Order: sequence, then structure tokens, then C-alpha cells
Amino acid sequence: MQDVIVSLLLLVGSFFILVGAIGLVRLPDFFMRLHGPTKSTTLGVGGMLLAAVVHAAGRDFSLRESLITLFLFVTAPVSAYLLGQAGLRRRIMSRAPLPDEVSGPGCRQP
Amino acid sequence: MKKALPFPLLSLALAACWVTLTEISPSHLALAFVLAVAIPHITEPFLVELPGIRSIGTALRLAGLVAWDIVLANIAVARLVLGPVARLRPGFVHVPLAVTHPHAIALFASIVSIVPGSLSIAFSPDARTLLLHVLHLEDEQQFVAKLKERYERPIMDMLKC
Repeated sequence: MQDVIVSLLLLVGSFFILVGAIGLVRLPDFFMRLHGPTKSTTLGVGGMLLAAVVHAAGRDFSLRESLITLFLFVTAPVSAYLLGQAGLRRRIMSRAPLPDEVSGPGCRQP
Repeated sequence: MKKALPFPLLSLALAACWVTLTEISPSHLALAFVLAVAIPHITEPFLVELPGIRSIGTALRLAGLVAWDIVLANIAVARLVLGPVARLRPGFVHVPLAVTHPHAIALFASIVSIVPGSLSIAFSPDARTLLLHVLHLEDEQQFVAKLKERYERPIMDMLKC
């Protein structure tokens, strides 16, 4: 039973990581591509780490896997934010019209 | 004179993380102690005092809601990515922020980034507006209203700020 759950979680995780990779290839511009790897990996890696937690349950202390998941979720938005900033400041080609100001009225240009 | 532990909770969390990630042995406990004392001192210029938590129930409900939304939104984004890409209408969206505490703003921006379909890209210099990139935007006003109602309201309810 435990093996079935672990396998299912691994399959679901792998599927969403694959979707992230496909998104990276298929999506047409930088900002859209940013969605692929930063997003699908949350559920993708989340599923895999959950599989590790279930696999270790009862035999080993599984707090470590939970911590890795937590760190992943805390750091993913930061890297996406920095990549987005770089794209915005270089005024990189984008299908969505780039905002003239960084954010909202009364703001400086980068 | 500076306090030995300016952020005791942070120090405790750091030590607990270190011991969890390595193993319980005298040398790792010693290292955990050094890290717990040193890191808050080195990073002190960047640290902001945490706002108190008003309602743990709201916090747990928000965590559950975000986890559920991650699953739903991942499926939605998978469908968008595997479908006809030319039909996607990406857009930049300005979200006026009602939360003002730095930790509350960071939490809101991170949740928006973690939930697939939208990414936090920039803040206005006064930190009153958040710029998002949205993978497929149908109704901007409805989208912003949903984000604020779904995530910003519980954040305001759960924190004392």
C-alpha cells in the first residue's frame, strides 16, 4: 500500500516537472517561460518530497524532507522575482506590453 | 550594549534546522549554536521584527488554501502549457497593496508567485503597488480582486499589523 502511494506521488511529481520543462521550450517569451520552471516545480518537487516522506514514514525521521520542501517554497519566489527584475530592467522582448513604469503611478523608471 | 540574541526565535529556528538537516552529535550541536548566534548578528541590518500572530486558525486555513490552490493552479497551467500556446494572453498587472508590514507584503508576494499562473516581478519604490506577470489574463479587475480577497485578507486577519 505504501509503495502504491509512493509510486503515485513520484509519477505525479515527475509529470509536473515534465510540464515545467515543456513550458520552458514552448512558451514564446522570457516572462512566460519564467512560469514553467518556477511553477510546475512547486507541485513537481513537492510531490517527490512527499513521496520521500511517505517512504521514510515509520522507519526514519521524515522532518528533513519537510524542511527541504519548505526551503524550496520559500526560495522559489525570490529567484523568480530576481529573474523578472532582470528582464524588466533590460526591457526584454515580451508579448505582454511592458509597463512604462516599474509599478503603478508615481514610480521611477528603472 | 547589543543583545547576545537579538532575534531569539530566529536563532532557535536556525539551530533546529541545522540539527534536523545534519544529525544530533556534540560537534553538530556546537556548530548549530555558533550559527544560531552568528547569523542573526550578520544579517541584523536586513531583519525586521516579526509581527505577532493574531489567529493561528486563520494562518492554518491560509496554508491549506494555498496548498489546495497550488494543486488546482498547477493543473490549470499544465493545460495552458500543453494547449495551443499562441492563444495565451499574458499581461502585466498592478496590484494596489493594502498590507503594509514588510513581512506581510513578502508573504503576499510569495504566495502569488508560488501559486502557478502569476509571478511577482516588482514593487513600486513606496511598496504600495506590486507588479505581477500573469501567464493568461482574462479579466484583470476580477483577477486582482480574487487575489486580494483570497490571500491578502487572511494575511491581514492573521497578523497583528
